[in-house]
Amino acid sequence: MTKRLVRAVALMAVLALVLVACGTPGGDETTTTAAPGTTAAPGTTATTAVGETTTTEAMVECTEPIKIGLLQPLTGGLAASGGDAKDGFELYWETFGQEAGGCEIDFEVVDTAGNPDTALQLVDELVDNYGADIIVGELLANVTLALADRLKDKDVIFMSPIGSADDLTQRDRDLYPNFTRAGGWTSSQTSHVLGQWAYDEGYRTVATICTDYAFGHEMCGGFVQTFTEAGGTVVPAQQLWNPLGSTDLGTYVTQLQGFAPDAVFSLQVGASVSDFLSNWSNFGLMDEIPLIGGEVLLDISNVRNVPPEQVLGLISSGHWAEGLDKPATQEFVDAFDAAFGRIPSYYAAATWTAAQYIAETVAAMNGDISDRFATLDVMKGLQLDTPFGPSVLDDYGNPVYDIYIRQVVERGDGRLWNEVIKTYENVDQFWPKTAEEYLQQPVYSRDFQGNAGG
Amino acid sequence: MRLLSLTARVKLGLLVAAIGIGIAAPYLFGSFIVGLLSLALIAGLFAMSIDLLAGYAGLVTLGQAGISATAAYGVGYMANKVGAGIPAQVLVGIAAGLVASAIFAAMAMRTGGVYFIMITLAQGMIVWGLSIRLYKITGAENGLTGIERPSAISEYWQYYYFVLAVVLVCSFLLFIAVRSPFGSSIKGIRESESRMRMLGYNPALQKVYVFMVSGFFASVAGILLVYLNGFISPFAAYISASAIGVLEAILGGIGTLIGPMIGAFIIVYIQNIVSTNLERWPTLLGLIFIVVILFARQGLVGAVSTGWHRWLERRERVGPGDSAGDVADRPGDLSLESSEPR
Repeated sequence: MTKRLVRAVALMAVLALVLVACGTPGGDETTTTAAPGTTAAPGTTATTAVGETTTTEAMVECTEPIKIGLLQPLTGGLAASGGDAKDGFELYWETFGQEAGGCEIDFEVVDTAGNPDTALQLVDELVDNYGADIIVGELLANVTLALADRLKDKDVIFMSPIGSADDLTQRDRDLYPNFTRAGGWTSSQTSHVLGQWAYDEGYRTVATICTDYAFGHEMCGGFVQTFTEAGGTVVPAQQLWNPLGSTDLGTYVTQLQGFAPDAVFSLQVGASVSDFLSNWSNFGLMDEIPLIGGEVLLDISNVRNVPPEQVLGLISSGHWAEGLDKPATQEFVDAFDAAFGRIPSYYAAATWTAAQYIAETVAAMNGDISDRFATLDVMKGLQLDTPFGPSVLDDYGNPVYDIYIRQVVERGDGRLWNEVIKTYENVDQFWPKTAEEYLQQPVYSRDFQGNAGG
Repeated sequence: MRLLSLTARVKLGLLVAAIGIGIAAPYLFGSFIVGLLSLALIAGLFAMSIDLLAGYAGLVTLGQAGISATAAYGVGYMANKVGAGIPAQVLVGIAAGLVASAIFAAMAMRTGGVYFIMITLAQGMIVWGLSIRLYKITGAENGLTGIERPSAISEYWQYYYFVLAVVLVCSFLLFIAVRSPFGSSIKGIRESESRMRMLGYNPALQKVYVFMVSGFFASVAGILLVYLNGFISPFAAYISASAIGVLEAILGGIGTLIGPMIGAFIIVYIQNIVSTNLERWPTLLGLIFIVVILFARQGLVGAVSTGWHRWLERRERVGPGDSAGDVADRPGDLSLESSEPR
């Protein structure tokens, strides 16, 4: 018995050695392996066949569909926002058809659960096995950065319509040559405008309360810099930072009241939003101190979850304004509302716009996007009419948008949304400075808020 | 007289088969699956380091990810901020992990049971908090990128073999550790601290030792993971990262060492493969946990082991068998309360 066992072990060892000796693995893994979850959309093969027979048209022959991988958190704490992003993306292709430039568009949506480890594994699957041409993702800045780093040497285009970490299209731009923010934004882009607006509105001292992480630092920094450079004052000690996910903001609100500023700027995310707004309202500050919100604080995804009296009349800035009175915006809002029964958030608008960018780019390239950098150049040359308004990409791959000063008002049907009260046209990520001037300063952090007075 | 009992032969056969499949995997699967296998092996090593504490010393920790993340941040800092070479990265990583373990151990050495859980939970969250606050070192929420593998193991399958080798060596060391006198002494602490004290042991010191050993293996797992992903962010230190390790250990069978590895494979599979086809994959995970807790308290390995021994007993009643020595090494039960009288 023991002899047989020894023989078996020896056999296994020899087998293993033979396998190791048989050259490097991985050379042909894409053809030998059927990956899980890579089932092509129904009709893929059929369409290819049809495409081959109808060559009389000036149509480009597409042997393979254009493949897009969308990574979003569909479970976990960010599921609601990630779900909006997924819905917006799918709705675009449902509305306009999964076809562009004579090519079929195929896409796969995967759930990252907001976990960078999972996202990195899944993006490998999308690139190596599914054969994605374009990756669209994610919601969180850290996951987006991890993905950008993983994808920088791969033969794909990486689009981030939501993850808005400033440096991706600023100081670290050169690290990620195949990255574009089409459909997206940089965090401080919208709050730069808000700082200037607050000064013009007559406010001279502002206290801030922002969530204590990179996104909060960047949103707050954008506001503080333009506001103080215009002549306003932000006392550094009156900049409060609450931890991510904190839901007991009463003490912060009383501190803010004690500062007695002309106005308060706030940027909260997740569960802190409703907590902050209810404290603000319960302490009777709605009529006492004007509250100015960073974009996400008053995004419709938050507005629809709080009692109307806590948000009605509040002002924020944003690249997304669902109440913008333009056809492209309202057609999207109505289509989304009809399909899902809610007014779309910026997450939905972002992925819709990313899909629009993809469709227009593929059409402009006549269906051949195999040269990724040429494709990115064509994408940069596009001038699109998106739900956000007119959009064009700057040299760094970040959109130049109209940025809106928005106010929460009641719609005709009784629901709340953000209406535009003032528009700043053609705002890029460096506004009001030039890129050269702006990039000399470090990225916003807790220590660097661009405060001209302090 | 046979050299090995039937149980031992079956175990050895399964082990050899598993290693054989492990070696053959890059020839059988594509890069995605091989990447997942690397991830599962690393997660398994991490869960085994938790099992050393939870299963053998009876100390359930919810802060283990704090240690592995500290090691990973050591690597990330040296790679991203200092620009040091690989040996310096790894050395600093291991050193950071061990220092964190030593500090954690010193704080937790006089506690046990629920109090130990509370303290380690806090420790893990301190690392998470620091990783968010010290952005000059950790890059805060954005994390650290640009952590490259050495060129000899830069290909995914090369790195897979490297991970496989390291995890096998670590598993072997852990296997020896729990069967050594040291292993017996920490099991003694699990059973009764006061008796161990009567025998002349210092339970607090023993806890520091086992914590350091466990922390070392957690650090190795953290470093393997950071080179796999090329990226580290505060998420790696968060409570959920620690908890998933404990869940993997419980799912596979606490106090078995091989159980946590199996648990890790199952959870990585569900998280990464089932999730692409099933939107409600967390529900599936939850159901599996409920079933395991209800019907297999000792985890999958414990359940299989119990079934196997029952089968052996029945076989023995029918005819003379060769199951001498099979009755020993049952997996331990997960108990939060020490049996020591208070």
